[in-house]
Amino acid sequence: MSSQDTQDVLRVPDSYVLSASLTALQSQQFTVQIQQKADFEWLNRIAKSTGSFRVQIQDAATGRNLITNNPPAGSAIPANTVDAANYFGTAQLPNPLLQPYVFARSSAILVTLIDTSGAGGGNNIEINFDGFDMYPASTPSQGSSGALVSQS
Amino acid sequence: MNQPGQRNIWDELSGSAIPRHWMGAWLTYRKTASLLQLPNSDVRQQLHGLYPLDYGFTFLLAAQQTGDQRSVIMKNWILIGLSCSATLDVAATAPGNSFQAQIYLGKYKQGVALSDRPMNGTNQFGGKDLAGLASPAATGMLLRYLKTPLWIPPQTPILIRVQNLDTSINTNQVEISLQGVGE
Repeated sequence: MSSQDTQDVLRVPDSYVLSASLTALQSQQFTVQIQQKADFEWLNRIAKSTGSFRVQIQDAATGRNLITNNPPAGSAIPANTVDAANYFGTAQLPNPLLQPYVFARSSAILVTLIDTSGAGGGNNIEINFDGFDMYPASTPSQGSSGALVSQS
Repeated sequence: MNQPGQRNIWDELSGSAIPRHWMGAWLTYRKTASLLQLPNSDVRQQLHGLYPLDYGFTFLLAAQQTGDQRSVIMKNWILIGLSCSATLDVAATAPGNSFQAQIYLGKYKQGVALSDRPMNGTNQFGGKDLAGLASPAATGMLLRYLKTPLWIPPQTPILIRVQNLDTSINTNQVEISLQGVGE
């Protein structure tokens, strides 16, 4: 283990928020940009919506899909998506990641949303990626410079 | 503060150390709600370095129809929690009451099932707090955690067999999400 693996980390609460409005049965990909100031440690899966929807989440930096799903043949359900009811909680009862996931600074989260409500009035969705910005405790003003992620 | 080598008395009594936020379980209200159902901190420590990966299994089932879905775990993967949703669940009750399911793992020569017979979804999966047990809006997440996460080696098939218990003419869209971490 290198010395940087054990460096003290200063965690500052932060949330990256995706607000989207989908028309009935619309599918669209969104990008949540991680700021340059620090690596982001994702801790809680939180969302609110006016209708049901499916979601696909991908780490743009690594290309990792965080959801795997092979829907039944012949169905219109897109692969690697999951019903939001099985993924998100609320601020009061979130769905926590027992092993938090770190997005590197300046990277992005690719989020594909698919409306399944079919509501004529549209579906207003807000997803909250709740977690912490991670700074080196020794030099918090300099940001993490990607060092925290590159050593994991 | 404890001296080196000493153990917290609560560890000895409960086997569950105080949750640490960096492990993702710093949730004060879970102390009474579901803390004992969470893997303890020693177990969670072993998840370090893995990333979240959920496997979803979707079924479209007519009245009392049975369906199978299969997925192969390609790399080391650890099952932590289970949730479900179904379009024909009875409203305002725990999710999963409109189907029964059984999970098989091809882990060993003959494979293993996680229950000796198909079991009602309500009795084996978590999911949205549709009954409003802890959140009046009935939108919170009450996942069913495995107290000891289950390691599943590479190239292991997972098969889930679901039977729709609903007898109406409507199609029941059942989705089971196995939530965990992988390499």
